[in-house]
Parts: sequence; structure tokens; C-alpha cells
Amino acid sequence: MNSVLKVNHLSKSYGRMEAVDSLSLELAEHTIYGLLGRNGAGKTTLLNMITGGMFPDGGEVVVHGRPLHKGEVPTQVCYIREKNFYPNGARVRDVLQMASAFHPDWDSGLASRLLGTFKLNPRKKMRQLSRGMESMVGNIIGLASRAPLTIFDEPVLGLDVLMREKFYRTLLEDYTEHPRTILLSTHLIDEIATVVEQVFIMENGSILMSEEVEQIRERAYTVSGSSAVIASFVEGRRVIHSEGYGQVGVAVLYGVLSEQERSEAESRGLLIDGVPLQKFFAYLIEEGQGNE
Amino acid sequence: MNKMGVQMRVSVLRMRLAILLVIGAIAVSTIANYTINAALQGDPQRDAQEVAAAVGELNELAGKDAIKIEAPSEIENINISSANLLLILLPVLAIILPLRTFRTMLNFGDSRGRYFIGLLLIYAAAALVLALCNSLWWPFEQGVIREHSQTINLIEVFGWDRMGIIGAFLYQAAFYFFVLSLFNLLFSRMKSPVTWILWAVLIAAIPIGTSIASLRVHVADFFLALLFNDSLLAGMGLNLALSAVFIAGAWLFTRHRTI
Amino acid sequence: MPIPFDENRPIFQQIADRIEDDILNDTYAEEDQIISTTQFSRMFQINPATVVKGFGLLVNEGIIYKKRGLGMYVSAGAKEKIMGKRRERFYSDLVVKLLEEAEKLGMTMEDVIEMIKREKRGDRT
Repeated sequence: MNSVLKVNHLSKSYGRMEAVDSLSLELAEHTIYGLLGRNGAGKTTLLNMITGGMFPDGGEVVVHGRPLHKGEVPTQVCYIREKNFYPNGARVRDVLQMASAFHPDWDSGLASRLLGTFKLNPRKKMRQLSRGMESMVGNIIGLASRAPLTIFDEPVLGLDVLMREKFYRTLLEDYTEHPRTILLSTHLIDEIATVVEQVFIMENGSILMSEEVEQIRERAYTVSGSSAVIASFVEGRRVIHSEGYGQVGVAVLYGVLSEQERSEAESRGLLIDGVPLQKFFAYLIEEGQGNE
Repeated sequence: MNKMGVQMRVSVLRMRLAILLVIGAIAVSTIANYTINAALQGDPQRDAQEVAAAVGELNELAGKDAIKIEAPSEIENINISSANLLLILLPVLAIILPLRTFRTMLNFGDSRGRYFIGLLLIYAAAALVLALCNSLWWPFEQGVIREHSQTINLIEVFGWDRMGIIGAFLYQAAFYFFVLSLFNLLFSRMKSPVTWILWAVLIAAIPIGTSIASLRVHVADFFLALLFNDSLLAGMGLNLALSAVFIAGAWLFTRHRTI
Repeated sequence: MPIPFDENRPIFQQIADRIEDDILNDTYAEEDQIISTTQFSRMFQINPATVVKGFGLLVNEGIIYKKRGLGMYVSAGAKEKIMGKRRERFYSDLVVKLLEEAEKLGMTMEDVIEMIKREKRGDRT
């Protein structure tokens, strides 16, 4: 596995607030990742440090095998910010042309095709665009850059469902033909759940969980039934969330559950079911806060 | 388009409004002057006396006969040369570019080093272009405009005309670059306490430098050497050396500037 | 295209199930070429690695096989294999649960069998 990005014990605080707290993660080549967290979890600070826009108080960022020194900007990286700084007096096609100068693998054919796909008028000025169309300009740049590491921060902000789907579909299509490492930072898991291979769940500046989405689907489950039976069942298991109403209760758990354990539990009257991902993450984040 | 081209484009986009405003202001002031000249009956002799008194005061301040303006016995309304009004663009440029183009360029994926070199190239080009404009305007101003109205141009105020047209051009370019690099330094990193100290020192220096008599001589000497230097080489050298110091400072700011 | 998958179960298993269904209902005959992983990924907007994993499951079970440079094909005897596998699952997932539930409701095996027969006759009352 070739490492495209490695982050070691990265920290950054604003005054007394720890925005990023000794965070480590690694991205392999040719993989799509998700960075999930609520607003204010520290995602944007982390991404700004990875791309050299801000400097960590401690720790290390290694991009394509090269440590990033203070003041340096990594090459072969395309970072599409949530809040872009494109000149608002420029036309869409000018912004695309300007962006192309910074990406050696730029595909201008793709850029102009995507203008059509996403129904963007290239003659419009940036200041005339809606928030969603603005996001799309960034997304076109991110896709057409074909950068070996492409990072999108909240790429579907302001977009309607149809356009969101179009974006993710296009991303998958282009990724299939031109594999590269893509990191999607968002607070909405459901939309990226089938698109990404692995997710990092971030809260309070740390990674709560780093796992393949498929694995989470396999390992996250709820048990419901009699409170007493649940209490004995969850013993020694990782409980993400639990609530009870007198005699009955429900618990969200995480871990491997063998067929035998499952049928045993069921024979004791427990009902075992899956958990929707978005719910699972919400519980996980809640749990993370409780542990502080 | 290469990266430098992008930077030029971004700079033009960010400056467009300011350039239009400056040119508009020059046009308005020129028209206003003509109207006033035509409408008011000035007192040329009294005006001339006032200018002579002002020159005398300046010479007293400098301690010697540094300013070699022959105050005429009578003048009409004196206007600043239109080409000089354009110089307002120097501070405007060096304020807007560091404030408004750094993030844009880094957002595109530019490195701080390349951005900074590009910025210096733009400043150098701006200094040369403005110096060229004024140098070409100067003979026209003397030959044509002064037939109709009295104007005043930096070239004669600082006595650069004694160095010939090429000399005047070079001295101006060096001085303009100095102004650009000074403002650029002051606006390169507004979030840093070092910048705030720099501002405080500069603001404090003006009243202190002019009010304390023993300092005043040195301040005057400094400006004489910087602006009224009899040697083209020494004058340009001083301007460019100071620019180099400001540029080094601005790079220290930019090198670790966050987005 | 909306995601027609159950999000509580791993997608790769559901992908394998879906291909199996297509073989069972004769959408794909034996030795037919099936949809490529790329096409599948595009059609359902699913990460290609997940699709490859799902197809891999079927390759391991000998239900489909890869022709180098051509694509994926249905193996000979695939349908039989799937049916055998599904029968086992039918027993453990449905029959066992059915009887457990019947026991809870105080029904005998004869009651259950009678119910099944009635349903088959189309006589619901």
C-alpha cells in the first residue's frame, strides 16, 4: 500500500480550544475516503493544515512521502474549500482556466463536459452564482484537476438532491477511469456511504473511528427487548448507545456478532437489527462527548 | 495561461474598481480645475508670495538651500500634474494586492514563494510603467499644458530633471518601487503583532521626528538623500536598498502567512 | 439513480445476492457474460472496490469466473450451486424461525402445515 498522505499526531489550538488534538491518519493511493464530523469538529482546520494553508502547533504532515515544512504547500494536491476564494468578478470559464495552471494533470475536455453535466453557464460571473452553483465550480475544478490527492470540503453544500447525485456519480465514473485518492469531508454520511471505501469519524479534533463503511454495516447493530436480558447481553461488548423504558430497552452495539451468538440472543427473546449509518454516527459522536 | 498569468489576471480583477475610481477622480479633478480657473479671478502676485514663503520655510527646515525652486514673481492657480495624480495608484496597489490576492492564489494551489516573486514582478512593472508615463508626460506638460495653465510635477519638485530624461525616469522608478515595497510590508500580514508594532512605530515616528529639533535635522537629511539626492546612483541606491529591506520583511511575513 | 440497497447490511453481500437472483431467474444463463464491475459501480453509484468485493464473493464460490481481458462469466452449474445454498438458507432463516414463532403462539406443527396447504390452495379463510 502506497501512502499518499500521512498525518502524525497533528495538533492545533485556537487559544484554549483544541481544534485538532494529536490526530493521526493515513490515506492510501487509489482510494476514496470520507471525513465525517459535525460542523466545528475540526475538519476544515485539519484540511487546511494538510494543504499548507495553516500550520500545526505540533505533529507532522507527510504528502506523497515528503514531510511538509512550515510555509510549504504540497504539490500534486487539489483542495476544494467549502469557502472558496475565487475572484467574484471572474467568469466561470476564466476561473476554470486559471485553476488549470496549477494542475499538471488537468483535463480541459472533462472540465467543459462537466459544465454541461452540471448545467453551469461558463459566461456567468462568480458573483452571479447561487451557493450550489458555486460549489459546482469548485467540484468541476476538483474533478478536472485529476490530482493524485483531491480533497473536497463539503462539496454538495447548497446543491439539490439531483445535483448531489450527479456529482457523486460523476466522481465515481471519473475515479474508475482515473484512479486517485479522494477525500470527501462532509457532515452527511448517507450520501457518501456507498461512494467511499473508508470513513474517518471526527469529533472534537480527534478521530473517533476509522473503518471501512462495509465493516461498520457489518458490525453495528441494535438489540431490543427486555432490559434485564439486554443488560446481560451487552456485558463485555462495545455499547455505543442505550436507552430503556422500564421493562424494555434498546442498545446500539459495535463489534463482531457470530451466527451462534445471534441465534442465542434471539432465542433469549432479543430482537437484533441493523442501524442506519447516520444514526450510528450520531450515537458514536454522542458517546465520544460523554467520555470527555 | 501560466501561474504568473493567473496572478496578473487576479490582480487586475481585484484592482479593477480601484483603477476606475482613481482615473475617475483624476478626470473629475482636472475638469474641476479648468472650471475654477475660468470662473475665479485669482491674485497671481499673492499666490506667488505664498509659494516663495513656503519654499523659504522648507529651506529653513532643511538647514540649507536644498530646494532649488525659483518662486516666480506671479503665478496662477497651480495644479498637480495629471500624471502625478496617477501615483495614488502606488499605495492603492500595494495595499490591495497583499490583502486581496494572497488567499486567492493559495486557494488555487500556488506556493507562497512563487506568489511573492510574482507580486514583486508586478510591483516592478507598475513602478516602471508609472515612471514611464510621467517621463513621457513631462515634455508634453512643459511644452503644451503650461501654455494654458500652471502645473507642478514631482520631476521638478525633487530636481530630477537635472539628471536628464533617462535619469529622471530611473530615479522615479526606484522611488516608486520604494513606496510600493513600503506599503506592501505594512499590509502583508495584518494578523501579526509584529505588523501592529510596525504601524505603531511608523505613526509615532512622524510627530516625534518633526517635533524634536535635534532629530529634525536627521529626518530632513534622510529625505534629502532619499528624494533630492544630487547623485542619481546614490539616490536610486538608497531607494532600492530600503526597498530590499522592506521586501525581506514582507517575505518573512508572507512565508508564514496563513490563509 | 437512488440506491436500491438495504443500508443496514453490507453492500457487497447485497451485490452478490443480486447477481445470484439474476442467475436464478434466468436473466443470465450459464456461460453468459455478466455486467462488469465498472458498469455495476456506475449504475448503482457504488464504490468500485465494494463491487469488486461483491463479485469476488461469487468468484470464490465458483458461481462466476473471470475470462482474462473479457470480463465475468456465469460458471457451468452456477444455478444449481445457488439453489443449494439458498435452500440451506431457506431452512435456517425461514423454517427454523417459522417454527419458533409458531411455538410462541402455541401452534402445533400440524397447524402450521395445514396453514401452508390452505395458502397453496388459495383458500385464505
